[in-house]
Amino acid sequence: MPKSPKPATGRSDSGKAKTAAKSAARNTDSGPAKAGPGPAGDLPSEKMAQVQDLAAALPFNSTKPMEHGAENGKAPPAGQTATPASRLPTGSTLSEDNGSEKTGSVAPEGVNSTIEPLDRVRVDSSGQVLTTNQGVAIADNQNSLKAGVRGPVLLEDFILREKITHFDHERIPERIVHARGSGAHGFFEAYEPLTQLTKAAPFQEAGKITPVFVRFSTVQGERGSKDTARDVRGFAVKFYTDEGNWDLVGNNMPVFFIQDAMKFPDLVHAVKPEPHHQMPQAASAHDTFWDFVSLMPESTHMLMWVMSDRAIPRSYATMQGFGVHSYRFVNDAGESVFVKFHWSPMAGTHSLVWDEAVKISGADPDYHRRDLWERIEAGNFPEYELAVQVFTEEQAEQFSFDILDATKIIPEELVPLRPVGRMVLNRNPDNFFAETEQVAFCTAHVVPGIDFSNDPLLAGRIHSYVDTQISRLGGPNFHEIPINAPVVQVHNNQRDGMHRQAIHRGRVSYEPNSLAGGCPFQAGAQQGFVSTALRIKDREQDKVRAKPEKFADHYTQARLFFESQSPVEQDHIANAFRFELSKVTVPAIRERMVSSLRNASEVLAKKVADGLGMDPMPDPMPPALAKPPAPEVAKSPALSLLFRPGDGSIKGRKVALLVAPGMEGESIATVQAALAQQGAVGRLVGPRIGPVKTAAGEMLDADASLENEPGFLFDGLVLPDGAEAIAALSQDGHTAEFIKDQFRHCKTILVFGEARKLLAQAGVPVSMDKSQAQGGTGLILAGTDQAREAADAFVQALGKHRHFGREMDPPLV
Amino acid sequence: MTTLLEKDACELLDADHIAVKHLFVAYARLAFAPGDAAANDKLALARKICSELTVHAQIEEEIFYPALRGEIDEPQLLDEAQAEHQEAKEMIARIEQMPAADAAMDELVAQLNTAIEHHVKEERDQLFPKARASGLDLDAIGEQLRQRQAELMASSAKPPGRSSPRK
Repeated sequence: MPKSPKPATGRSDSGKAKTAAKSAARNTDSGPAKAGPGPAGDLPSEKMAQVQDLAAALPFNSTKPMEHGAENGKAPPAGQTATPASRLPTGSTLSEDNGSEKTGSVAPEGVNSTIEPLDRVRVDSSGQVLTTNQGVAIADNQNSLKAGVRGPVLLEDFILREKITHFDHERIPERIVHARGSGAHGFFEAYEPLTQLTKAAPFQEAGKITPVFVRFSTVQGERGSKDTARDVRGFAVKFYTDEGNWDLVGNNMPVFFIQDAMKFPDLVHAVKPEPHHQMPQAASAHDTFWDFVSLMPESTHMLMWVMSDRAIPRSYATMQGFGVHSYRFVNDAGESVFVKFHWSPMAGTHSLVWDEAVKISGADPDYHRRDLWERIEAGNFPEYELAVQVFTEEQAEQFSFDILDATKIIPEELVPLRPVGRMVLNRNPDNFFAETEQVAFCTAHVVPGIDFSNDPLLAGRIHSYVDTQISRLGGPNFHEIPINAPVVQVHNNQRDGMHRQAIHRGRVSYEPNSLAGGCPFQAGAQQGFVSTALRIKDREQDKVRAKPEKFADHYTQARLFFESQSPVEQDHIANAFRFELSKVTVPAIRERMVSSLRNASEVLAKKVADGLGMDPMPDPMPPALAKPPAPEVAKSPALSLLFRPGDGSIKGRKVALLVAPGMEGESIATVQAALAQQGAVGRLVGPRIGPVKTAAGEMLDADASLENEPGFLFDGLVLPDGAEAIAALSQDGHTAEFIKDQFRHCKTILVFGEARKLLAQAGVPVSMDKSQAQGGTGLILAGTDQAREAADAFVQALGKHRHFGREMDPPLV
Repeated sequence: MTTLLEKDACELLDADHIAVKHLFVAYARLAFAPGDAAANDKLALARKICSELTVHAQIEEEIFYPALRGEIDEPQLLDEAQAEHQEAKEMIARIEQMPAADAAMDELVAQLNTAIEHHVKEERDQLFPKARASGLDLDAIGEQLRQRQAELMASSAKPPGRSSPRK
């Protein structure tokens, strides 16, 4: 080797060593026996030395012994860490200091920036020019690039191709169930600390606010299907807690059709449009559904709920929500109790009637979506109280039913509801796709303080939701989609995959490690999620595919539900069974269902059979359990919609005020003002939209027409006085339909002066006279000189939601 | 429509049906609402339901059913209706003996409601069409019903100590 000349400054042996270290530090493979220091200020050798120190600080895996044994499993230790001398050894590259407009700077220490508030991805294009996705300004957005004005389009037209290509890929697969949904942002506020019961973050102090995103949905219909189908409604709440995301993925009914996830694909295949001709859309009234459920008697309780008016809510703001399964609350000491979650609407539980729901689905398939949007836009924020039923494993053992059975409720009379907080939905999404469509709810998303029960349906759901999001959202990184990202730091060694957004600094993507000082390290029992050790006793059984014996009681709670309803609600349940089963084309299926219903309620079965011309009734179906245990509760008024009438508020309600030329305008204006004052909307509905001259010569502006907003879309109706207006309305065929539907659906109707003639014309029978004299019919007749009093009476009657006294089967009009 | 109109027999009886349904609905609204604040209102409603139904059953039995007998093709419908009246009267008697509007009364009023609903449906679906097609002078029968109803209401409006009419 040629001798290199001595430098003028002179060099010692340590100088040689430093140079050697400097050289060694400039390689990405192979290294010296000892990583000595390099020259001062030489970053590569400094990094090499610090990496060596960091690795040496963790000479062995000190927590390894604690990975063993049940006791350690219940209280795992925090992971072992070492602190690097500087940020040098944990970086990916020394060149990270060379920032630019694109790279920005170095990752802030210990921070995942992808969880920043949604502002980081909001887009507003005010004052901006149109660009390609690459940010190239587009000069002409009207024409593709052609070889001459009449020549062929050129393949090189990257602007056209980008635009068309993106458009071609706009759709993602819709959810297999719950495809049709509407979402909103809001917050949850705890009433009081529940620290004795749970360490779950939202419940740690009074007044604590946790952001939420909620999605309501139907189950059966496709993404563009009607809102008012007879169906279960999804009621999914994503809590962005400060210990991670908790998804309470519930429904507006507290039970389900099946008891084991093994049957979930069967159920959904049976209820979905039939596979040969893809009919019917958004309906359970068809052969395959009733074939399946009539062979699955455990579905009877759920059928009662689905045939009740709860399956056709008036608004997402007027329905309950339920966590369905038994969950667990776990406190700081690791002690756990069972809980069931209940959301109750402050506006009360109110539903549509079936004839109305069917008609609405034609005129406004977006009825619930519109209602939710408009309530929030108007400041009538939907609000729900969260309550829990808390019970112990020992209590559960005493119940006549199994708390792991998703076809059973725990009657409120047995375990009372304890209110724990409220949820307010106060912000509509900016973008339906980015938020409501891409939001991914998973029952697997729980936080410390919340844990699962052994409900076998829940077990399947814990798997299924995550699994289905992967295919729907195109890969395993759906947690990085802005609406799904938590508000807390996310650090782990999961890497790569489709659409990865995070840019992880450093070379460590495994644990344990010493090269990143052990980070990110396992949190240990103090901070981390520890699964409840004792989920249920008798864990020591052999592997088995069978249900617990109490699951075989299929009818006791179906009976409880039916017998806890008011007579009108019972009528509606019977009528719904009649309607659905009448749509079935196979008499044997119909008869099988009626034979099953006989085990739940002879009264109901007889009524349904009568409505289907089924005489005699088939014999009762042999039950799976001949002598079920006696129930603790035989009647639970809390199961009736009437139990939660709400505060009588009419916020968010819509009323049609019919207008026509020559009308008496003052009285209508009085009612409209009274409604507005109460937070309801009184719409002026005329034979056409636009100005209408009143008898007094004033101009009113109709913003809806009899043609474009049919009567069944409104919660109430007001008919104006004025001879000319009445004559005009009388000769418009829509008017009678308006009145007929409003009357049939038992809504509040206010009739001024001579407009009562329109009632007779619509077929309102003379036999209403005695009821009118008696009062309380929700059909208010008033002179225009009593407009103020009439408006008050109207507002009050509207607050009662419906007036079922005039409901006959078949309907009076 | 706040004053009573001239009605034929079916319309008059149906006016009773609709009016009593309003009372049942009002009762259920109070019975199912949480709390028992409305016990007195419920008691008054239950009493009114009972007296209305008692008079209604009586004028049907005295005037309407006999008028139809011999004029319609399925007279057993009248026997069924009469039997249903009997069943209802027993429930009415039990309700009238109850001192307070408690859960037991809620239960019984709901049962009566269901029974009446069934009876009304049969009358509306089967008897009324037959009566209307029979050629009977329903206006005249309606007037008889109205007069008798007025008499009975006047006498039943003199509590206490009235007894429900029984066959």
